[in-house]
Amino acid sequence: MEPILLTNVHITQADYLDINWPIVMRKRGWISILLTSALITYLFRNDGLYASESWLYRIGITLAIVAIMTVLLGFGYRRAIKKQYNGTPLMQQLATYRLTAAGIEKTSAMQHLELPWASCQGVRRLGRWYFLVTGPQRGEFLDPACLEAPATEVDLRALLQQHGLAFI
Amino acid sequence: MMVVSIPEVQVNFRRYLALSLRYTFRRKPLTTILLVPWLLSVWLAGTLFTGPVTVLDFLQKEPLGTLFILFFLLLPLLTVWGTRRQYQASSLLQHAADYILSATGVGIRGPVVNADLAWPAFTRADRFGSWLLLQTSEQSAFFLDLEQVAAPANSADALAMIQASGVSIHS
Repeated sequence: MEPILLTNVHITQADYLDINWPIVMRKRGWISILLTSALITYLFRNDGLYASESWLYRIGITLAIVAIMTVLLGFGYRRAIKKQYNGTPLMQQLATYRLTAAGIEKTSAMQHLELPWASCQGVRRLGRWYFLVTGPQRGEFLDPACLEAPATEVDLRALLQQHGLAFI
Repeated sequence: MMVVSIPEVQVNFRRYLALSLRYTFRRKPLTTILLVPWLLSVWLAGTLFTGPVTVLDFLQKEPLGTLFILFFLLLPLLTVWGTRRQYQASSLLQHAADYILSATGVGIRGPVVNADLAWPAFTRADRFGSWLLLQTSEQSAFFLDLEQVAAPANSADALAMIQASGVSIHS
């Protein structure tokens, strides 16, 4: 079998944010909802802000609190994702991947890595990226746009499936 | 060229848990504040089981307070469970690996990974006793046991090599 090559794969900070944002929302979204609800309940019971009899005013205040919490929490999560990217020099490198029958070979200016297929737990589709899961919060980002001809995305998918990697 | 090798390093779960907790408290000292509501919950739970007010009374009077106590009592269990899942999800942690430190970087040879990383890939190192957490990000690290450095080199050589590479060691 011819090895499949992906050359100069580069994940930018914007890519990393796009990839992680939905994941963070799915995992942490309920915390935001919980915190906002707790704050509104607290304010309601202490009726400082809610003292007015006007329903319009009460709805307005509630919406304002939801908006402020959304902006604050959203800003915090985005900052955390960016910090994670900036704090990982390995991820910022241009990398070349060589996928063979034995496993994955990754080469960049900072690392050379050989992983047998058995070390991969699955593959996740994140936007256009194929994320090979190799551990907790660890993995390799494959960009099908970087596939070297004649290999195509179909070949890449076939190879991943051939090695028993489930799409998770 | 001088090479320091640390063969057959593997961290067991108990050590992994202890090192993870110590790392968290070192990097995020604010998490120690969580000990206050935890101790408070333990104390409150203790008084509920021994004192004149029964658990059911308290549940009726303070449903939110009961939830608060329950959450903090369970927090250590949740932490251990989360760390356990992390440990089991990492194939690198499950198997022993040989680490080879040189002037250019670190080589990792094991059944599930074969890697060479240049020194600039490492962001920082943290020492806890004989263990060194060599980090490539705040979320991922290699666990090295400096007591296992192969002769003729010793742990001081390993530390000197890491320091010379520009990676800061915190202890």
